[in-house]
Amino acid sequence: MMALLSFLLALAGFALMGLSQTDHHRWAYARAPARALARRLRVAGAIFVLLSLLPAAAAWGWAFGSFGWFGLLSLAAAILLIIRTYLPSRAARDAASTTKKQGKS
Amino acid sequence: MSLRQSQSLLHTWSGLLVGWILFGIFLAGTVSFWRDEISRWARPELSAPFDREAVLKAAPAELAKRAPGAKGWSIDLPGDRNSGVLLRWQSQEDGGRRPRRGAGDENSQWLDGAGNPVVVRETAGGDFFYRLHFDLHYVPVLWARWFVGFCALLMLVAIVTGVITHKKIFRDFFTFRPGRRQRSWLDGHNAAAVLTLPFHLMITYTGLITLMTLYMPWPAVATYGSRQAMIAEQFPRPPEVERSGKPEQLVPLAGLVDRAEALWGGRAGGILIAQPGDAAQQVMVRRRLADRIVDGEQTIRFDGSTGALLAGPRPESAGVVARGAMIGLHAGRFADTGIRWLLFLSGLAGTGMAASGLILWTVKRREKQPDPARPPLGFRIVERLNIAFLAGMPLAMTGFLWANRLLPLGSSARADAEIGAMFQLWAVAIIVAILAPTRLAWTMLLGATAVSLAGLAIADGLLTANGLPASIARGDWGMAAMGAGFLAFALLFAWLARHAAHRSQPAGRGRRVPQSAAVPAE
Repeated sequence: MMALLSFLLALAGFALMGLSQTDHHRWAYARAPARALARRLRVAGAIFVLLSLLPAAAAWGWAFGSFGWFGLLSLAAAILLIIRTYLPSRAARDAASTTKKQGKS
Repeated sequence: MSLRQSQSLLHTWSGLLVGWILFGIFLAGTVSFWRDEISRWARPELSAPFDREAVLKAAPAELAKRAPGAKGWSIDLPGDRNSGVLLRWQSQEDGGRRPRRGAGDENSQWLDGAGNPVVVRETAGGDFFYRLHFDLHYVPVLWARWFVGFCALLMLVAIVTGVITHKKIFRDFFTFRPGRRQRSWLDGHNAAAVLTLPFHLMITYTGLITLMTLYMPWPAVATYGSRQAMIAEQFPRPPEVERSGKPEQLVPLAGLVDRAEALWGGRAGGILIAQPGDAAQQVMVRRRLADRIVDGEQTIRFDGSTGALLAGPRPESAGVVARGAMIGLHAGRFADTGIRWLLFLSGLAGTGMAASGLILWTVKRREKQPDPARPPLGFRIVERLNIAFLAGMPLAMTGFLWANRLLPLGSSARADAEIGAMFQLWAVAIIVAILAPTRLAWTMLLGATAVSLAGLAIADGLLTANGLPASIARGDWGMAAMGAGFLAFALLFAWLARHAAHRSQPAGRGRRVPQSAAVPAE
């Protein structure tokens, strides 16, 4: 349970860090982030990623936990990479739904 | 030449030089995270759940029947992940020879979890892939370890130079651009390397540490006079027990094991009994390696006739603990199911990193050939070696598993024949890799691996009680994971085979990415 919490925190943290980057932000929201927003996202993401160590330590103890934590970080990042690669971008989804609506009318 | 260019050059060539062996080391090492499960899979005869009391009673009785007056008895207790109890014995005339574990030693007997003797097929099981990982095969062990160490050192070089070479390590962190040939292979190679970078650094460095006194014996020689002297002092073997000639009953083992476990606050992994049946007999209880990260023996010695405690676990110096911790991290014996899966996935990423790096070498150079239909010899060698190792080795490994199921149970040197089957299948794969057109060779070998893996899952259901549905129904998650793993990798290899079959060809045939979609070159 705690391991799952650690994984979710890492996932959220990496997602925020990813969103601080122009390319990924544009993919998710179809616009570039303001500089201040990008910095806030980056800092928030880093805090989440660091926080995810705590539940990992609670799940496995500090010795095994700090070790397993790196594994969870890798897994979270890999899953975000897959989502980012295979989920269509916001712009593409918007375009698709527009065509669908136009097709109906 | 800039720093980055020079590092890039070093990365490319250090990676290429040992890439195939690294792929093999990674693959064998990765599956070895399931060493106990593979061993259990390979011995379907051992199924009864472990009953500690019954086994500790039955084991000395069976040993007394099979090997009375032996010099030593050994009882390997199962951990949480395997089942069955291996009994081994050493006769008085037998010197320092250590019996080969489970691989057809006549001085051994398996008990099932309930303590009943069972006839078990002769097999090296998961130990084979584990040894293959650092001892290779058909080569003297010492040469193999030096060679593997050399490859691991170049791996470390490749990791560090790779990080320096990678221009946009943060910007490309979540980036994979499929369907763009060279760019996709580079993205994949980067992702496999960067996302699991802590694992790759850890596993390569600690891998070198496991054999550090072999690779760098000079500190040991300077301090102790020789490597052997250091090992004798730091990791002493229990003193020989002299036979008194007076017979005496062995005290019940369960009580000794209980006391040892209370002393450690851990669990027992095995028991050695020196001069059993003699008044001078001693019992050594060994702690389970899976108990803690540090890989090191913690043995408690008892008088086997009176049950008196003779020696507790040796205090470990900081240096021994540090070394043991690194070896422990490498082997991951402490890992519970969750961490074990993470280690396995990280190992797969490492295997993928080695494979994609090798393929990238050819993808990068194919377009630049003056005559792409007739590439130079060096290019053709790399291309064929890629097929022989990246597609050939996984297929060969399934050959080992098939041999485990198909070879007659009583045949002589059966364990060696299983290993032989793997290398024979590999030899066939290498011939295909050399003779067939490259695209056909990739497709055939990857496709054959997919069929072979799917067949293993089906054969398990037909030939053993460990088929996927039966394992799930029983709640035996170790064997269920083996079956599900075979099917999952069958799908992966089927997908790879399909991908190889549709791959665009150097001469411009096949699918090509439109120019507009391609990323501008950096």
